[in-house]
Amino acid sequence: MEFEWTADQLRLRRGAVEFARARLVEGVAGRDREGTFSREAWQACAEFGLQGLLVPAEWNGGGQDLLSAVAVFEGLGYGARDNGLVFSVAAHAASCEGPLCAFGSEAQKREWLPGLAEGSVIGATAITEPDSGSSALSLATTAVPHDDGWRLQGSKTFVTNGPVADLFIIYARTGPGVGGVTAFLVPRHTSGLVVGAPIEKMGLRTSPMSQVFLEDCWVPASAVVGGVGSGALIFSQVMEAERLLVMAPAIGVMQRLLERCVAHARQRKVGSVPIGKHQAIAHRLADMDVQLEAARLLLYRAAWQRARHGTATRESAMAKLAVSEAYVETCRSAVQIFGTYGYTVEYELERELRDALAATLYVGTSEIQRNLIAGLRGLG
Amino acid sequence: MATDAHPTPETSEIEGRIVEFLHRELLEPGVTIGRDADLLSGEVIDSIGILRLATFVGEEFRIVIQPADFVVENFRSVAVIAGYVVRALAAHGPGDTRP
Repeated sequence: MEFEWTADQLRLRRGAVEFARARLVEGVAGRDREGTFSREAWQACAEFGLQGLLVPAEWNGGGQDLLSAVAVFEGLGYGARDNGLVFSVAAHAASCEGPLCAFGSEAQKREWLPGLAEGSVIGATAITEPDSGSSALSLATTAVPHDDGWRLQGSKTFVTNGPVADLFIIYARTGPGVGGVTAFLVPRHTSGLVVGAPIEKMGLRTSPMSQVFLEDCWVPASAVVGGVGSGALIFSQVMEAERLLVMAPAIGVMQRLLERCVAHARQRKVGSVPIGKHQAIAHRLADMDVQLEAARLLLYRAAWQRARHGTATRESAMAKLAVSEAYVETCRSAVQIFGTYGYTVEYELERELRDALAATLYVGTSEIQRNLIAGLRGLG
Repeated sequence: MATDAHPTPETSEIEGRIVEFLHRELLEPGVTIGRDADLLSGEVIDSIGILRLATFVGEEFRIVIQPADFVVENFRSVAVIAGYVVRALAAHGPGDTRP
């Protein structure tokens, strides 16, 4: 059992930290306030190679495995302040490029992967529906055979990158049961696909989100990803990777906040005594440290298993649950340690907390992760 | 290539172990299934059930199920799953060393 990164992984992580500090810090407060997505920052990420990190080299990607990608995205979280943009890039990579790389036809890969990897095409996945939550089997959106293709009908919500996406992977019901869900590749300008207005959010405000409506939206048979009826299985694999990739930046953010809080606790004095001398503060910092390391190890272990052994269903659910809850708790503690300063916009901790709160909701809520972990034990 | 320590099981044995798992863990009492019965198109297995089945297949036969292999063409029925296991073992041998 090894607990060390390779020299290449460390180089990638260091590079991501330096890139994020240089390009993903300036102007974040304003974009957060306005709720705007930065195409300039998106393109900078693409030029650095983030969008193509997991895409094979033959399609203009970096050809990295998930464990190395976790190292890079952790570095982004550590160096960046724009958590929303990093989230958008991770969602693009895991939920759009991921299924195309693993399940797409050669023609689909040839048409879309180079643009996705280079950032000129923005990807999104539409699974959640207003009445279904994230259950891949509770879909009301249907696809029925029509004119050598499929006609899609229904609506999706909470589509990350929806307002700016050029390409959607849309899951629809094509029959009963687990084998009755199919994934479709639908370009933005397809007739019958309508993107709703951006949804205002509490946090991750630089990552755009919208509804997507499908009104007699016809797509050719070649739009099917991975075969008719494989959608639920594909989605389960997408979720495994996405849980890990979107949570990796949280490890970097937690590390950064812990270091900032420790420095503050050693420097900030009440009377003549640094607040870190008080057990109330020191113990809180110790707990932050333990939560970070526990979450980090679960994430690394799951990513390692996924990279080496193909699937890591239980491990990725446990990692997602642990990291997201530790992330929220770390941000709450950071605000508390900084006191009222932590509540001010100037100190940027309130934004970190607002961004973190989404982590127990997206890519399956904490309740869904617990359902999955328990279900894999034959419970529930 | 399979090693002597882990000889490649016969197809019928693979099917038997899968059916035994299905009856023990996933199927309602009294429900029986044939080797060609469609596991995925009805109420036989739910979304967590298929993940449990895939986990069982990977661990029981010590194969690495790559994400791209997790499609209905490989998991539709007991016979189909057994065929997939045989192909995976023939191609790579037992390879799962996860703790």
